[in-house]
Amino acid sequence: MKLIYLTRMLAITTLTVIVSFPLIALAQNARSIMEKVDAGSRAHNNSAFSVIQISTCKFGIADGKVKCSRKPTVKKLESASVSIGPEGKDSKSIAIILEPASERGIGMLSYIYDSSKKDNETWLYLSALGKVKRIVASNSSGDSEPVSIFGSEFTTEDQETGKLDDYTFKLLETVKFQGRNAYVIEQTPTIERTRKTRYGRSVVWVDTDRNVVLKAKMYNKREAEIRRIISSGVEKVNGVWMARSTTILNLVTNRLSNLSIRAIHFGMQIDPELLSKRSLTDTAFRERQLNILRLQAQ
Amino acid sequence: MYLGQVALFGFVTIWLLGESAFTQELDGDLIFDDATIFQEISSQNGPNGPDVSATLSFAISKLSSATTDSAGLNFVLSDRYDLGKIGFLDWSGHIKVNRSNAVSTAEPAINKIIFQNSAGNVSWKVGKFAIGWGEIEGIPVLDVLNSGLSLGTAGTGIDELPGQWFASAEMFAGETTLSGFIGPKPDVSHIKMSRMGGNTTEYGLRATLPTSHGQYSVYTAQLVPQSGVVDRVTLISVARPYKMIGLSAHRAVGAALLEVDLAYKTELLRASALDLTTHDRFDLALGVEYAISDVTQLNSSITVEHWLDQDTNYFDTGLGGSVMASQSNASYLISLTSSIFDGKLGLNGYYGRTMDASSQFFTLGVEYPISDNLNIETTYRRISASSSSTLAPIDGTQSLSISAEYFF
Repeated sequence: MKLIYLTRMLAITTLTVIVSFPLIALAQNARSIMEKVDAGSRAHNNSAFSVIQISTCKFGIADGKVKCSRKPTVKKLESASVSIGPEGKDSKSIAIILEPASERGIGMLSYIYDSSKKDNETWLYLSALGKVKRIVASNSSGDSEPVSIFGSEFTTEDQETGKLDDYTFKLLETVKFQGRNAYVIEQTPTIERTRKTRYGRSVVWVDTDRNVVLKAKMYNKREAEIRRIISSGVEKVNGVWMARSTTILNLVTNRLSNLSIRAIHFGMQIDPELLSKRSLTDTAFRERQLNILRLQAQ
Repeated sequence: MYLGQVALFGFVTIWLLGESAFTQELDGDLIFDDATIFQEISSQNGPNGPDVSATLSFAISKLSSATTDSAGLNFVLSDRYDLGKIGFLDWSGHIKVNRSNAVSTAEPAINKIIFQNSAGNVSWKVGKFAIGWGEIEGIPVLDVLNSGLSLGTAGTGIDELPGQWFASAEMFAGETTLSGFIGPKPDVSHIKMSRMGGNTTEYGLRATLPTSHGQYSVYTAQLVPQSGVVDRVTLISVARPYKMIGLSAHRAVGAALLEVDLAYKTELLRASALDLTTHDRFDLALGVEYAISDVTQLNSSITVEHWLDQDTNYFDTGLGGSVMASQSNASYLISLTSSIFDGKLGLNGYYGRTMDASSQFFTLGVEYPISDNLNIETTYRRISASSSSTLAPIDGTQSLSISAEYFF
């Protein structure tokens, strides 16, 4: 029983993957737009080392602004990722908790594949059971749980890249959104995908010039909006536009999580061994490897 | 069925609590006020210290006409330290105060304490911890190194499962791993006066290799059984080491993970009418973890044990006395876990049964996180056993527990 709870708590992947939402968003036009968005997200995975902060709280709304109504819980993470496979469309990544101290070292290893035909892999170290465990894939993100990311409102389904073939896309309109021109694209899961996802459809607002998702609404299969994503702080980093702050609102529980990229470094020399199961169990090895990356980042 | 009705009422109540908060409309283009979070960050990271949680629980158990109630308060502490080049230290323990039938007990215990370091391709650990073998958790085909990891511990907080004293090492070569351990002080449960026999040090080796869709592992070990065998003449429970070789594998097929654990065990003790003798046995477990959806998972497993010889009558002894032991035993376990109301409620159900219908159990649990710090959980359990089962004395047991866990 507790195993499920633990895996739910542990589920996480890299920042650069997280901020890509269910990106998969008028037929070919809409598809090509979402391909550009997806390519931008994948670019963040290539030899990247980042420091992420995830803050979670109950929220309220005042003056059109979403605010924490209670003190948020804050987790700081480090993440490393590399692109692999054909055309670098697959990726390996590991995310480790830095703070709070009581959770330091808890991590998750993810192998993410672009192809809809290949299931992603997620590995966790379950210390109480003394084993590294592969988590069964219920959706293409590779994790079977409601997949709270370290207890936050981000889930692995909200963060996957690739697998555009799992969706159909429709360009609904082009609008002005927060001073930017934005495509409004509806993405609907295929029949196969529908069986695996909690979302009946999603609507995403994509910056027309920067190919970044500015906002997304996710609906359940009864057409009720259950989650919303808001992005801010869009910057060009390493030649790629990205949102430095991403907030997901759970409209059912009135909880939000904000994911903030505190630092991101590209072109890092990452030992492939760091992105292996060894890093989940060998704390000393993992810390040595992370120290090397911290030095490179400086 | 009183407890069953109470359990049903509790589940429905919690269900309705979740339903009341199910939908909410939000209109307009909202902006997230980052400052509300970032202003808080500076006050978040207080002084380091042990992580503490407390669980207050109440349970009522009914067996025949006897009803037992118990209440408990359990503090769990854990912490970890970076010792620089020396390595890392990680520990957790608990202090449990329990009151049952007007009798109070207090139990402090260290659940785990691990010193870990590595050099080159080799990593090592020394201390009290768990080692998980095999693919199917809790099934005693290969997952036999730790005490407490059995079906009987269903519902036990995962952080409270006791570790054992081990020294272990792992050698890594990419995704291939060779690991070994030595355990000088194995935990064995006994229902009678006990005696250990032979060299009771446990040791074993495992090699794990990846495949295109999964991995497989091979094992060899000398182990001490998790429970003793009762000599029917002396009424002494005896545990002696046995040898084991094993194979496990898993393969991902879409939303399913197929698992197999296979073991050949030699020099296992059995009790005949006159004495204890050693025998060989094949154990096999097949498991499937299937994700029905992104919030619902079905796990199932079948376990078979087959003794290679049955030249006379053998007996298993439980709390109620001895029963005849079959040459082959089989059982299955099905579990369903789900999260509803977009994660607001967690549900879990377990059903296990022996193939000969001599015993079965059923549990149903609900988890409801009230806040980030407070979680409540209620569980209903029922056990049935026939007279041919060692569990016969607890046939008809029903229990209902409710607990509130607070994370400081």
